[in-house]
Amino acid sequence: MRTMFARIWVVFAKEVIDNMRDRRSVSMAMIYPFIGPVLMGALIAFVGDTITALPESNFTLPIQGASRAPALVAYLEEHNVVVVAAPDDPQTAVQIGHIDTALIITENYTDSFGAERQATVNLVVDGSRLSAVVAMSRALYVCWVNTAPASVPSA
Amino acid sequence: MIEVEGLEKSFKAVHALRGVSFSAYDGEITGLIGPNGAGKTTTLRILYTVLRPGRGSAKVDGFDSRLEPREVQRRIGVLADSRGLYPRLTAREHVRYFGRLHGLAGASLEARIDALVSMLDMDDIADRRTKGFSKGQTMKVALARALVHNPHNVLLDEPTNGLDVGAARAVRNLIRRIREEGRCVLYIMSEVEQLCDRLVVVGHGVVLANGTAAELRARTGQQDLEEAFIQMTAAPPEMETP
Repeated sequence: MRTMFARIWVVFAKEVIDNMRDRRSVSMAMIYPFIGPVLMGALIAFVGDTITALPESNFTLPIQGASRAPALVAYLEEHNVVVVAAPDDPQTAVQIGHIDTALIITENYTDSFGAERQATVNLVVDGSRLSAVVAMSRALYVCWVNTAPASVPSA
Repeated sequence: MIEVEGLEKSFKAVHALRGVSFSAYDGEITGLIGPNGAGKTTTLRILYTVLRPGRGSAKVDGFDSRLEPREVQRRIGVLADSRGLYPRLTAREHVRYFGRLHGLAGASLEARIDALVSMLDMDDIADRRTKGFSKGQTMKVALARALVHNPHNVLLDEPTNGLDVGAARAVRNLIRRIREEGRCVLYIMSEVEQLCDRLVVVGHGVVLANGTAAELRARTGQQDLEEAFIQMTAAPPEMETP
């Protein structure tokens, strides 16, 4: 048995030398371990930059029916959100890419909010656009903070 | 000492060997000679344990190549018909690799390699990778690795094939030297050479003649050994149908 393992070792050692001297197979073997993490890192860095760069800039949120929720609008503006009036047809505007997202404050918002019931707002977003997804998360975040009962701003 | 007895081997419909028997003695160079396709290489392959005979036996120093291949491998050095070298290993590494496979190691192996390198006049190529080696250089490497474990029996399949005059002469001198050491040399060739003590003429899978050069000359009535060879291998032998 010992001689058999010794022979296997001799053959293995020969194969290692032979293959390490084969530049093509060595470079092929090295390419994936070296290039793979670099590509992965570049991808993660790119996505991370896109996501982290956005919140620092002023976030423009088109709102339809802003007058129905003055407290919400005031709160959003307080949190660096530039509130603008949404186009008449927010769905189409988002679809064709004029705007990333739009917040629609429904007609019964004031009544519901006043009655301490759940108040409905609609967020229009094109989920296939990265910037739109970021915009959506931000809009949802500020809306959730605003509308969650525990953190209703005093304003 | 090599004894081949009644060796038969078929590859599907091809009867390569139809009962080959001969002996190769220590201290002699035995030439296995015959036209292409006569069965010389098949006989040799059975001897060096890579083929199993259909019938009959091949023995090296009394060990049967089929029953005790390890013992046979230890006792033979083989220059096979294909010399296949690893192109990215140096000549010295080839010899060292085969030495290690035979269980040699350390200073004794290195000393043996050095001895072979100087004996085969390989100093200039010993530490070069074998890629791009000439036929003669390849032959030297193949010979050195066949002889690294100092085998008592040496099997050579056309060792001078494709060599220039100088290299062929060097190989012949080496073969004579192995004989002088009292070892057994079995030597396949397709051309008649004056090197052999004993000639075994093979044709159509059988032994057509077996004897010294003088005996073969006397038997055929030809003074020229080459003519004798042509005469012996020309007509297919009468074969008994089993």
